[in-house]
Amino acid sequence: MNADPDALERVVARVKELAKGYRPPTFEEVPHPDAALFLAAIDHQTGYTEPHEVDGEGPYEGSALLWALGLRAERRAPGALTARSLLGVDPAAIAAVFRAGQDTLRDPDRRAKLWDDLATGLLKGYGGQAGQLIEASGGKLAGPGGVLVRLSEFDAFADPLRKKAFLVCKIWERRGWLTVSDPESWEVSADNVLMRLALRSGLVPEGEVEQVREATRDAFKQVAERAGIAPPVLDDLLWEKGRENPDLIGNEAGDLSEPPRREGVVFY
Amino acid sequence: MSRPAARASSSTSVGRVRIPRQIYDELIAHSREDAPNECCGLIGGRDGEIETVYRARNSEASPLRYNIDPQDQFRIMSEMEERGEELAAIYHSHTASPAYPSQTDINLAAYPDALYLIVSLADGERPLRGFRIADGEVAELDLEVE
Repeated sequence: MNADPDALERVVARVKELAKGYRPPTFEEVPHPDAALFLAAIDHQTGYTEPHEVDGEGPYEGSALLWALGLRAERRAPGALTARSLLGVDPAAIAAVFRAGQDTLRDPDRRAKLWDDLATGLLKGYGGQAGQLIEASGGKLAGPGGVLVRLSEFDAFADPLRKKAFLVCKIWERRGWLTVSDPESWEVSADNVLMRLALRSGLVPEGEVEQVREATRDAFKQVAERAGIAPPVLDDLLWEKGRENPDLIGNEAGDLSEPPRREGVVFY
Repeated sequence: MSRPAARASSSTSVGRVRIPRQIYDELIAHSREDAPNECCGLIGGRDGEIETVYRARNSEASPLRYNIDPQDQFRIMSEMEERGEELAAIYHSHTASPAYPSQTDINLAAYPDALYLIVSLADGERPLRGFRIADGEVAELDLEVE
């Protein structure tokens, strides 16, 4: 689907301005590829009701809170976020590890199943190590044998739009664990923040959630190409600056919001 | 979980923590059983009181350093959740040196809000001391064993 040409032109100009001096996150706090893989796998609809500090840092909310709490567990017990630790993990452990005060992660049972499925597959196919999966891909993102196809074999990464898969690949690349040989395959992670920006700027039309997700992903890929910015960097730029400012790249289409999530899905 | 449940008094600058006698005894016993290696574990609490010692395996199995076994961490956190407890403290032992954070302990201390309890089995040393460690700075708390 092609983005609205006028809106595309406007958004490209705004993105170029926003990108001046922008430094994307380095993800230095993520200690190893498995930590990124397992946290990305359960990064959806966190259900936290308010922001929380974690060990004096923050406050964090939503996805950022999930990552802060998960990485704390890894610091406390190195190797916690690996297949060997998470095989058969108890949902109560997930509720505890991701607890912040009275607030904790929604649906720990479902997340425990996602982690168990991922741990099982990783142990069976890759010696339990994300690094082996990366190595097996030969640095290729898309196509047969590429990282995206390999990840899609796990329930957590079965999203046809591969939001979580692009997220984890972005972190792996930024940390130097993945050297991408087909950069033309990069896409943004079409999540609620990016959908909201795309809708309000007039870049994509309103519609059913899956239509809007796909249109958002495609439109921002065009924006990235025209603005000369790598899609993962554009993804960070829009997410960081657009979380608190839904009109970051314009509001020509009015006060629109992303469509509601479908119940039970483990992505978006 | 983000705030330890140990009780700290504002009457002194360093703070005070009440340690039930059976908790103290359990920490000493665990330290002796795992010697010459360092032992480690977590302590659960509720409503500001320290309540339960959860032993963990030291995945380093070393007399010089410790890391909580990652599978034990999940098991313990699960048990705490089911009992309605919060993480109150993290403990480990020093088998031949004072109960004071080593440089390794300081470097690895990632929880500025946590209470770190250290047991010493060395002759002539205080057997249990408690600290908060933040940004490389160590602050000792008064422990009140009762």
